[in-house]
Amino acid sequence: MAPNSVPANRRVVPDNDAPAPQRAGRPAGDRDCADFATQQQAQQYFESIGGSSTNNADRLDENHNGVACESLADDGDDQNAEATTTGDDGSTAKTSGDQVTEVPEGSAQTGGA
Amino acid sequence: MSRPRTAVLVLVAALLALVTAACSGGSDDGQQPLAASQQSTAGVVPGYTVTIPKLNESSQLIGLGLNADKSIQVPPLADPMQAGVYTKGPMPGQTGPAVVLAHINANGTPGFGEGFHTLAAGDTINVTTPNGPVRFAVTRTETAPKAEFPTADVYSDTTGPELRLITCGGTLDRSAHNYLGQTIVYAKKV
Repeated sequence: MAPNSVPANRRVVPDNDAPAPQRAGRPAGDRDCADFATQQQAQQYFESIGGSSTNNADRLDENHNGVACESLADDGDDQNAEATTTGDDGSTAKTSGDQVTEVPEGSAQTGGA
Repeated sequence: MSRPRTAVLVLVAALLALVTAACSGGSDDGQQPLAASQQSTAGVVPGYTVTIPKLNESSQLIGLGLNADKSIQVPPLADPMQAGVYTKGPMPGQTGPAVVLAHINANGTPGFGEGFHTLAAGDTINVTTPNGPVRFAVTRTETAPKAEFPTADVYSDTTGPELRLITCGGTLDRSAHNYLGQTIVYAKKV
């Protein structure tokens, strides 16, 4: 697949050996999803510290699927996408539980336009 | 073979050709293709491959997120045999409903989801995962109108690892060149 491309006007995640921003009460280098502007950046960092579906490095992959910070827009071109409206979006769809962190609305366009 | 039967077969074949074109995203019937934002640009989720022995097909899984309108992204039309997995939910083998999407066809060629409607209770779906292979058995297959998509059945919590295979299907709206339904295959880990 195509390598992640980071637009020039976005902050680039430093390499793993670069000093990470410090925050009170957290170990040095421990980052969370809020530290990243895009999912791609989070993913890049996650993998750079050994993250995978079996290694929830820095707890960036709460559902252990190898994809870091799904709460960040992950299509790379829609940074305004909201991803935090679980359960209060007012849609007619009712689901129970939280295994699916954000329930899609409606059907899937797996064909047809 | 008698002549009337041949004629029927020709008619059926013609209808099928129309149907497959109609669910293709419209590349060859004048319809607007899917908006680019509806197609995932994410890469393959490492370590996962779905294999459906009955359909003699196999695909790695690319990551699918949400569009701005909160609808689920779909795999790229450019690769109809590419399946994807919704990454804001459990992955296959984890407790919960892992949702796998595939096109029924695209660009005039069959897609990974073409045979989903033929899967019946007891059919096997194998998924390799980073934690080892997981075997699922189909519990049921349904085709629902898109307007009545069974969101609760598909996305609600489950007691164990389950799988949902989703593609388009059902009645074809000829005027809109679009399928009116979705085929959903429900499967449980065995």
